[in-house]
Amino acid sequence: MTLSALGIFSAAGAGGAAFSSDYELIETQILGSTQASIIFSNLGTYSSTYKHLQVRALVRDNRAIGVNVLAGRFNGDTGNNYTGHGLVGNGSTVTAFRTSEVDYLHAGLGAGANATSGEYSATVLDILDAYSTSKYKVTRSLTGVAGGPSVRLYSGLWLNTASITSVTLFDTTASLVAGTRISIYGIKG
Amino acid sequence: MPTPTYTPLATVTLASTTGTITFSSIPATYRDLILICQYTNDSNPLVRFNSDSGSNYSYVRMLGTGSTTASDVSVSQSGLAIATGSATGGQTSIVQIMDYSATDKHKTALIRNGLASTNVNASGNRWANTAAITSVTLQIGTFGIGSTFSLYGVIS
Repeated sequence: MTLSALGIFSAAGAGGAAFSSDYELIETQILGSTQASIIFSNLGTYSSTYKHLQVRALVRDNRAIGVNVLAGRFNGDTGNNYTGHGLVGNGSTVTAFRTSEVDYLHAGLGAGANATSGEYSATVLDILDAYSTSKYKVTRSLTGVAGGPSVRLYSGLWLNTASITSVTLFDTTASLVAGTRISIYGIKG
Repeated sequence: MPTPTYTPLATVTLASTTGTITFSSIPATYRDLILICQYTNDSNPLVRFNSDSGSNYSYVRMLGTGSTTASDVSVSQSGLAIATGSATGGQTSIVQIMDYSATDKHKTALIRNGLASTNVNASGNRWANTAAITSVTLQIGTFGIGSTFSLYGVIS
C-alpha cells in the first residue's frame, strides 16, 4: 500500500489555504560555526498564547567522546535549582540516576566528536505549563545517540514558580558545533 | 511570528491485512517527520527510508518487561526496529524522524514503542545516509485489519 504524502499535503491546505494548528513554531537556531550555547530569549512574549513548550534538537559538540549531556537552564538561572531523574540504556544495561539541586537541567544529549561523522543526537524535550506562576516547572525528554551509544528518558524540575522567559541549552563540557539545530515550539492549551 | 505546524501529511487505517505500507512523495517542505502507529503485526516490523534495505541502520535501545530491564545495540540493521517481539496484541509506536530533508547529516530517529502485554521500549536510531528522505516504508510481517498509521510534518 502506497500513500502519496505530497497529495495529502496539498489537499490539507498547502495550496494557498491557511493551515491552522495549536502547535506552532516559535524559533529555530542553526549553528553555522562553533558556539557555547543556544538561547531562546523572547519566550515571555508568548505567555498568554501557549500553555506548553517543546524543544526539538539535533546536537553535536566538540568534546572527544561519544556522547555528552545537553544541559538546560531557564530564565538565566545558574543557581542550584534543578532536580531530575534519568533512565539510561547504554547498549548493554539500563541504569537510573537522580540529580538533586544542581545548576542545570538534564535536557538531552549531544553527539560528541568521537561519534560517527555526520551523526547528531536527537532530543524532544517538553516543558509543561511553562507560563504558570504557581508551579515549579517540570520537563520530560527522550534523547538518543545510536553511535554513543546511549538512549535516555529524563524528567526534570526547576525549583521556581516564575513564568519562563528564556531557555538556554548548552554542553557542560564542550561547545556546540556547526550543523547543530534547535527549534522551540508553543502548544496552546 | 509563530507559524502553525505539525501538519498531517497522510493517514491510513487498514481495511484488509497488508505487508507493506509506504508513504511516498514526501515533500522537503518540513524539518522533522512524526510517524504515529497503532497496529498489530505477526513479526518484527521495520521502518525503511527511500527503499533502502541495506545494512545501514543502527540503534541503541532500552526496554522494560515488567520484571526486568535490558539494553542492546546494533550497527548493521536493515531497517529501524519499531517493535520488539511478534505479537497479535495492539502496539503503539511513535517515530520522531529529525532533519529528514537535510543533506549534510545522517538521519536520526527517536522511537517510543509499547506493547502492554510484553514490554515498553525506547531507542535512538541512525540511518547512515545523508540523502533527504522522500519515502518511509513499514514492512516485515503482516499488519492487521484496523491498524492505523499517520505521518505528520513539522517545520522549523
